Amino acid sequence: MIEADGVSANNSEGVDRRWAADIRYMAGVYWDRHGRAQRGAFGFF
Amino acid sequence: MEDPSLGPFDPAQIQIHDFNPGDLNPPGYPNYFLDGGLFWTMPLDRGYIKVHPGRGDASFAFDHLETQDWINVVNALFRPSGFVPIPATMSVDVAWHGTGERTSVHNADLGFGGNYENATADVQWKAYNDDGYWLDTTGSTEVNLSHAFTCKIRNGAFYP
Repeated sequence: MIEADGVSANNSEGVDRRWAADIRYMAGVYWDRHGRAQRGAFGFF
Repeated sequence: MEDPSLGPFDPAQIQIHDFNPGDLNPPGYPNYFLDGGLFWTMPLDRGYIKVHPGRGDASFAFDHLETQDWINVVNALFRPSGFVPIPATMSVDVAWHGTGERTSVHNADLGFGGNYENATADVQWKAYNDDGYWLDTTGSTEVNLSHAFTCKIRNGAFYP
């Protein structure tokens, strides 16, 4: 899990833009909608 | 993403782009935020992720993943009638570096617990929408890392 922010002018407008990002990933075992155990990976943005 | 010249961060008023994958349902289907389900989350290829258990090091990288620009978090959460998100792509390159500071957390009331390791991190990402807007965080200033950690936990039906 990462939460970060910063300012970048490296964009299509060429002006300062403040960005903030909340990025996570999960890899492991989960229950699917039918109650079955599954193994997989998910990203959260 | 916001214009800092417009004042303090306030997503509802001045946020100008919001890149996320929505929820796992297309528009018109149940809203997983309002219905208590899963949102801003999408299945990924396991190959995007590299983890070094016990060292607290990990990386997460992908290129040109299809996502959407919801303009602001209010649109992203509540999907106002008539709003159509802008198709977008996003690339992310994130690396966690474990600091060795470890702790165990167990919270029976909230139903989760496991082992956590604090980390420093390198964060780079870029996004493009179909209207021609793009931003790349390369060369950013005023970078602030609020939280970074890796963990191995159990929660929900898997806890304890």
